[in-house]
Amino acid sequence: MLIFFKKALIFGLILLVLASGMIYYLFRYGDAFYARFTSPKQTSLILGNSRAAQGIRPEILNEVLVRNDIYNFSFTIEDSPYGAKYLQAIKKKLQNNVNDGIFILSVDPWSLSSGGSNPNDENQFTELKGLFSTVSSYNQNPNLEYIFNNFNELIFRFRQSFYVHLHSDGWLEVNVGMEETKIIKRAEKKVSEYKEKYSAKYHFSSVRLNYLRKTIQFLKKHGRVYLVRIPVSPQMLDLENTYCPDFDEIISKLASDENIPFKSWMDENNKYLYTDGNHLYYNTKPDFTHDIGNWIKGLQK
Amino acid sequence: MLFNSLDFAIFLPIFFVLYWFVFSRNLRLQNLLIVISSYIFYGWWDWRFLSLIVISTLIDFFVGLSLKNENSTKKRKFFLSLSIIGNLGMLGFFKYFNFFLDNFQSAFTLFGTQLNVNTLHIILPVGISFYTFQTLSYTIDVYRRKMPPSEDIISFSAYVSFFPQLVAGPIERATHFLPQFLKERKFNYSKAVDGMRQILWGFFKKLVIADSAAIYANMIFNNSADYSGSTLLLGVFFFAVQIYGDFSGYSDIAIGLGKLFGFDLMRNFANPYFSRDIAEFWRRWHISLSSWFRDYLYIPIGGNRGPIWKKIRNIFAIFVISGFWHGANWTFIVWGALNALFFLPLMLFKQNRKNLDVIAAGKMFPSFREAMSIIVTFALTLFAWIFFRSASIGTAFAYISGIFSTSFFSLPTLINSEMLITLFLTAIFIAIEWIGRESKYAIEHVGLSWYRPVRWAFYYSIILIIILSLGKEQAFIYFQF
Repeated sequence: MLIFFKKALIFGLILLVLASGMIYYLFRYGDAFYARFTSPKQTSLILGNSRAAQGIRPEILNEVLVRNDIYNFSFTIEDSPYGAKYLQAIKKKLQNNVNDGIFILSVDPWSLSSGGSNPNDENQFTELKGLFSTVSSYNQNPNLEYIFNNFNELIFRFRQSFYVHLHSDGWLEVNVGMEETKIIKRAEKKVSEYKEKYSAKYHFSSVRLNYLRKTIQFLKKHGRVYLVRIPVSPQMLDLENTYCPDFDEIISKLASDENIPFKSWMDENNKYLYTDGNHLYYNTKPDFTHDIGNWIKGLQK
Repeated sequence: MLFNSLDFAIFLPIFFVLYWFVFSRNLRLQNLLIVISSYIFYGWWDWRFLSLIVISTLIDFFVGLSLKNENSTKKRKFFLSLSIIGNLGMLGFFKYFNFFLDNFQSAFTLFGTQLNVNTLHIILPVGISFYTFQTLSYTIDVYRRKMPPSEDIISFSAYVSFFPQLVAGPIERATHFLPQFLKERKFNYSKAVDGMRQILWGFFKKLVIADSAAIYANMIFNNSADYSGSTLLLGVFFFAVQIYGDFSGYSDIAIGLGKLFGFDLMRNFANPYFSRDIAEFWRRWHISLSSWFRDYLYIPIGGNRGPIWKKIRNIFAIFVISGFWHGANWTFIVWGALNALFFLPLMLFKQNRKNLDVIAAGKMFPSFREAMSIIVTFALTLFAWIFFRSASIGTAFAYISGIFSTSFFSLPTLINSEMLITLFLTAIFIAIEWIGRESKYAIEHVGLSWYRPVRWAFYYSIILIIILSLGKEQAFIYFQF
């Protein structure tokens, strides 16, 4: 029996090493968020949902603005719409003693909306069941809490590891086929998904707008805040305009109240290339991140 | 407690150490450990239903003792009835009460009388059908004087509640299993390693094959109106893979665990989907239940003896009751009746014991004739599975009419790219099962002669694939029966 025990122990130890290695690899390279929960506290942040996560590259912004501290802390429409959870996460991710940071907040109608019977009922906010509710630590490497609480669908992460790469600066690189037919198909699917899932069931939330204001007010204490509306395809824009026709006016008023700049790139949305009509493709000219950087640079003069 | 849970991963090593290191020198204490651990294992799900196992154990233990010195046939029958009524009474109440009530109400409505009787909110205790049949086999065998009654309540309780097979079998016979609790068990290295290998294969079947197939089976069955005939056919195929991987996977884990603790549990599956006719299928599918029905129901009511009408009646009785055993729904009854229909011609033409050997034994491929027989048998099985999986008879017929539509000739819908991975893994799984069809489980002899690092690499690959598949945690299907 001792031989069995000894061999089982050796077998188990090797297995532990192999399995831990595999799990770590899948979370580090196949998870679209994990690395953002393992990086240290930051001084400048890009905030918003997946549009910002994929569409704004800190590396380029740092280059244009001659900095080295910009970090992308954007997630998804379900996890990081503006609200108490996201504000709390931002506070945890930001160094306390910062006063010259740059904060780029991406806004769109969906990040200021909520589903359910009452869009202003915080108990119905989707993020209550999202990432920020499962993890309390944002700066631990490895982040075992994240791994344990999100230990599901490893096979999905394995598959994702081939086309998704979360960079160390928080930018989410997505590599998908960019043939025209594929883009059209994906864009149609995305618009129809947004129609069914969000446009039909969501409503603009004044509570979320208020949280956006609180987020701005908090960040203003730590540096300069910029509001941006990331471009989307004309089809997606039509949907957004139908859903919330006066969105730009609402945000312009907020920006004016808070005395911060706001720019919507929707008028120039034909300039850019999208993977699915909703997310910008990174490898094209003109590059959206360059344009944001130049806009900020212009404002700083 | 599920085998595929963290709780069990902690429970098992603790039990192993206590079993082999602390209590190995005292058989009674070792059996007591089995009883306590099995109760914890079962109570983890819902401790209240432990009382049912205890009641069942006590009824049969004392009925067994009463039968020991009783020679009067009348009194012996009385004691046997006590056990049957007690056990089947509990099973009937928890599993079938609402079914009968619903059908009773429907029957009255049919004759114009409206009955307003409310159904009860009854939770089905996990594994009740399994341990009920296991304990019944004991009293029946004692009644038939096939074995002496147990006089040791601890070993008898261990026999009833042995956790590896408590909730989903194999349904062990007392004549085979109970004596194993009465003799000293010694740790056997090769048996333990063999058990570990079988457990590994069981987990692979359940977590990699069955749980992946379940996603598509559920998706297609739950939205059957949206899919083409060919996709619906693929849906039944996925269900066939799911139910086999799930249930035979559980059995492998149970048998493997048994070996780890020095027990021999009976084989429950023997590559049923490679059967050449339905009779062979039923000798290879859920063997412990089929043989239970054969020995305690089919043969006592006459078996294949007597006039043709009796033979037909007996066949239908065993299959319909077997279907009903699976659940309180007409779909299971139709499933059973269909299998009886498939089986009947074989029996009437005395062809039901034609294929008793392993198919294409010693060869790599089957003959054309054998291959065709397998395909036809599998097609019949798939047809019957539609009823088994459907929520009602109506949805089953809608599903069948969906299959036999013009869209049957279109390509199946690819739900997502992971479906291809599942199909690919299923193909590998079927190939391994085919190669290992002469063994007790597919990988029983795989790699035994390999250089150890290669053999271990093979095991590690299987385990890493299992870990990769985690996250779709689904309970074992047969828990609900």
